[in-house]
Amino acid sequence: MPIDFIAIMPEIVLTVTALLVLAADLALRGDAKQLVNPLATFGTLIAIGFTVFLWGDERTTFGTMFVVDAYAVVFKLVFLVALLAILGISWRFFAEGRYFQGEYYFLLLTSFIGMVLMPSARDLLLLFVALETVSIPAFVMAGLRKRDLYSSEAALKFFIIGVLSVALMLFGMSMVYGFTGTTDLVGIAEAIRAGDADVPLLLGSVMLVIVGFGFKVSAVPFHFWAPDTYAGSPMPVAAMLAVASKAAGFAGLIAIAFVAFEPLAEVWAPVLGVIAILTMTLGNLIALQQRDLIRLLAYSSVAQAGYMLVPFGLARSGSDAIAVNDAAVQAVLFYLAAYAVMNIGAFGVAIAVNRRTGLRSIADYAGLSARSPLLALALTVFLLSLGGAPPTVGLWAKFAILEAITVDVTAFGVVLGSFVVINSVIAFFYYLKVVKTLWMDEAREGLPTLQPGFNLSAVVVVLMVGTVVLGVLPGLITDFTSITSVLATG
Amino acid sequence: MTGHDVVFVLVGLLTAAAAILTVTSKNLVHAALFLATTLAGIAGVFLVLAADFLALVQLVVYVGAVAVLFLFGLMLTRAPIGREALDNQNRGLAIGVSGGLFVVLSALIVDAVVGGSLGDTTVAEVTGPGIEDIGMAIFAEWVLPFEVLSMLLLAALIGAIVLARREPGDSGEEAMATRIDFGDAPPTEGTDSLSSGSLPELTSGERREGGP
Amino acid sequence: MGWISITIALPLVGALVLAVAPELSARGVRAVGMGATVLTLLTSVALLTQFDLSEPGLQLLERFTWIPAIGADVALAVDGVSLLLILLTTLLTPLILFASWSSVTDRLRGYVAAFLVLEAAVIGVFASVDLLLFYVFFEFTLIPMYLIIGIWGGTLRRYAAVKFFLYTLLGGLLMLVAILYLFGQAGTFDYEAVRALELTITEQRWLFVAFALAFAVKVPLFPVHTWLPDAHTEAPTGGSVFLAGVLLKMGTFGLLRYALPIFPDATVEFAPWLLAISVVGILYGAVVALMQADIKRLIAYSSVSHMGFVVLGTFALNATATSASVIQMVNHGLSTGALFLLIGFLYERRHTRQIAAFGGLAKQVPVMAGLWLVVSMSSLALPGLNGFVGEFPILLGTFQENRTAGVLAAFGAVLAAVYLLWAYQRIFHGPLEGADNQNTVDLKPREIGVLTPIVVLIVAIGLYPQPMFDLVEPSVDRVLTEVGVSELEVEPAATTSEEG
Repeated sequence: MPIDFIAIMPEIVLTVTALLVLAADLALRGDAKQLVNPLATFGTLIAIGFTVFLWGDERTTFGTMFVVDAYAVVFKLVFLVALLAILGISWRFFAEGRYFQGEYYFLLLTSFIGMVLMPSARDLLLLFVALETVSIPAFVMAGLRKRDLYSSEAALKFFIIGVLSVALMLFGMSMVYGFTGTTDLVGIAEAIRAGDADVPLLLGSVMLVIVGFGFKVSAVPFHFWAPDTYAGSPMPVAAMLAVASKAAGFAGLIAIAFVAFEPLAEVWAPVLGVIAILTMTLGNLIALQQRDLIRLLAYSSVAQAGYMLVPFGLARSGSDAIAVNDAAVQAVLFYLAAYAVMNIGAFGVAIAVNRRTGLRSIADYAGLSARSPLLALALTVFLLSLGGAPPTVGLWAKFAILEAITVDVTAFGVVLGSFVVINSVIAFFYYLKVVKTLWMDEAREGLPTLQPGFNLSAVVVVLMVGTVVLGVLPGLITDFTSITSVLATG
Repeated sequence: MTGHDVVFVLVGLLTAAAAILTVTSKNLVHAALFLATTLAGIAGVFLVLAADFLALVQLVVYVGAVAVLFLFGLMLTRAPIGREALDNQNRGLAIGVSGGLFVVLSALIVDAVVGGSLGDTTVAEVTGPGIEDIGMAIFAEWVLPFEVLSMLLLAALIGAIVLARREPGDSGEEAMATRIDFGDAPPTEGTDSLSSGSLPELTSGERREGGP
Repeated sequence: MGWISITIALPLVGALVLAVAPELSARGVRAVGMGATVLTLLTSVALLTQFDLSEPGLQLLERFTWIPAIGADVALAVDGVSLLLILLTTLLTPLILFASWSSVTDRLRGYVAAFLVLEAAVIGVFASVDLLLFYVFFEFTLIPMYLIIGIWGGTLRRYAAVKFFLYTLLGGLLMLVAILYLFGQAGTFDYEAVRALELTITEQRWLFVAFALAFAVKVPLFPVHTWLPDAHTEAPTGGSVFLAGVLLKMGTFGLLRYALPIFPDATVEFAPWLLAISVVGILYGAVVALMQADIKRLIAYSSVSHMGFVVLGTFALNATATSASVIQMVNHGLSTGALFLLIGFLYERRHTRQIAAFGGLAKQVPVMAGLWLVVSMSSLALPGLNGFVGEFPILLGTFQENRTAGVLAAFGAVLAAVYLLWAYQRIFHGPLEGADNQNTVDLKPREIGVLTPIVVLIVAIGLYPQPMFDLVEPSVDRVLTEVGVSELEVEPAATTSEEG
């Protein structure tokens, strides 16, 4: 069985880069160790090159296990660009904190290997291995600040919850295999269609798999690890967990839900819809009370996961539901791309302010507009975008979700839509609270000047411009996401 | 309920009980031994399910290598293992049990080799995939997950080293960075030497009050 | 690029210059701001010259591809109503900047930039003929206004800013859902295509409510008006003027442009309800205004009352009243805008807005008192001034359609005279007591310069309103034809719809 190496080139490049980073870390000494960052960046750029090269191609290799199509390429690009941004915001943070730099970048790259595999995986086993590859390096990265008990707490909570969710998922997957006799996602769908789909045990195992992913995307009631983990992890890691790791969870969930379990959509869609409602509402309500910017972002990212789960609640089975399911997948994909841009940006600003001073209470951001207008403007743009105000990309993310609801209006869809609307207003309350602090409150005396450094500033500026440009011209993304229908038709 | 089921239930109960004891045991060495028992029990489950290859792999890798490594690790690092005196003064009983087992097992082996004086033994055909099929599956069809797993294991290894390595200076200075306490994080006072006790408090008092 | 897109782009260019220019003196900032806004005014006047009065529909259409995946375009066009409101916007913005010359010194660059962006967004609201584009502009106006209130406002500015933002956001999101539903039906966001949709009465009811609620918050109609007094009171002078002069008009404009023609049957069905709500708003606003001790709050509540007249006229669904309500939008923008300017000038001198703190000022500041009187008279609809040519036909038209509403609303007009004149009397008449009152200085030439164009327009419109009616009537008539209640001319399309 010949292997299509072109199809897996991005993964190969990332693997080689990761190994090179590890070797370079051994060879370099002292301050030179930070040079692994540009090395990793270079490798990521090459991987992006190969991914772009795959655009428009349809490739399948390793049987039907690994598929490259428009959907996978868009997802991979989201991941790789996120990786690039995270590398940008990591450099100074890790170089000055004197962390285990080589190991950190190695683990980061390994985690992203798992992520770029995820949207291509069409097999339960590969999906599982990819998810583990995302998670296990992340457990370690969350605990990198070893002297800090919060960091250890973050890592431990994340680890235990992660292992539990994986165990549940694996249990469910093995039972699904037992019922259908295959691990191939399309094969599972066919087997379910052919057989008696209402076996309670099969439904139970489907739910187990979905719950497992629920942990990954920090959906309520499986969200409680997220705020502590984000708050305790080194901040670039928090950004990575909040964005990339969550996106990987969604990539897996899309594959499982819309391909393998598509015939059972009538069963899981309402469940995920209710979870979506709970997730956005609870996330937003708790975020209202936060006084620490990172925890606020953490709960807001829980709420954002809720918005992204809404399209899952719209899913339908059967051949006449293709339009609905396509719209749902595209909405999630668009939201993820937008979310990556704005959330990494927000974390980037937090790093810029926090890195030297250790300040991150929202009150410490008072008068940031006077200390650093650029950072204040950037954070304002990112927060407004997370809320969904025009003209930012966040508006179109919300728009995509509401649009998916209107493809085929159902009562449940209307309920979901009204919750999205209500929650958008609630969310603005706390986003505006931060914006108000930035611009309208007086700074405390004696705060050090901010030196974000070139890389961080560049990343923040690029993301800010991206947020606004995509907000004015959302067609730049929709042109890509709108043709990613391959998956849903399965 | 066939005899098959009875054996399965028994092995399952044994495994579950050992697993519970693993996490409840206060003595690290005991915990490691119970872990070995759990892993061996899983091998037993595989055997009952006629997955002989998997059972052997389980025994060799987990019981033989992982669990034994644990014990070596405990011994070599002189980790605090709880009660120092592991000798439970039951030597006589231990000799009796092991001697009895030796006699029974020897008799069984001799019987199997010499020929059925102890009763009828029937030889059943082993069903299921052969080892050759498993090898082909892993290295041909499933080579991608397999290779990814190797990367994953490498990452786990590196990660374990990073977390375990104690190197003053590395990963140290930033530790004070998140000492922002709003009262909603768990208190860190009075924990071990890594706690915030030695680190400067960056927050002012007023922000400590309240909390959700 | 046509004239409309240039009109929108000019303020944005000005804002961009302010954003990127490295070093800029306060004088330079003001020059950029004034330059951009005056140029915008000129281009909007150019728009007027291009406009064909005999054509009732949308004119000067410009269309650029925007989001190909969902077929949304940047489509800009004007009819008589939107052109008039664009002119009002482009006129008021330079005056606001001119008026803020001395009162705003803190973060001047941001202040001017915010107004420029706001102006562009508001022109966009009036000019877009693509529902999605309209929504984006409509919501976007929130952000600069939020910053203007929140950064340069009074003591309670933060509270007021957040309240303003959240109220209008909620309304806007409901409208977005409705727009998406319309998109699902029409397959496009194009205004004319959506307008041509045949919707069932149930659909119309739901969508009408969503749209009407969004606009009602903006107008603001009783009982969703509660953000307005806070926002008005706490906003800086320029912000209050813009809010009263232009932003509130987005609500009434939206009702006329979207709610009426797209959902004609629901409009006819709901019109009595809206008349009732407007009348309650008119009376409530007037009564509460009577009791205010803070002059700015008084005018804020008078806005609730006056905007109630506009909605009343709109939903009287009568050619006279509805056209007049458009005129009244402009009138309210001019007279209330001027009142807020005057209050701002007074506040700069005295740093208080409590009516009780003033008294007998007419002797000390005769010019201010004179202008104040003229503007108040305009606001209370004295014949010969602009308020009359708006308010009187509204009352007349309403009276024809719904007698009770007309009578009650007329009572509101009487109350307006009471609270405005009473406030004038308390501030400018009576004994001139206290050192503060005796030392108040009269308006400076710059301030008189700001007010002059407005006062000239107040008088001019009052004496010769016909050109404005000529501009507005064809467009309004087209809307009413759609609703099926026009009496002036019957287009072929109207024959299919039933008489309301």
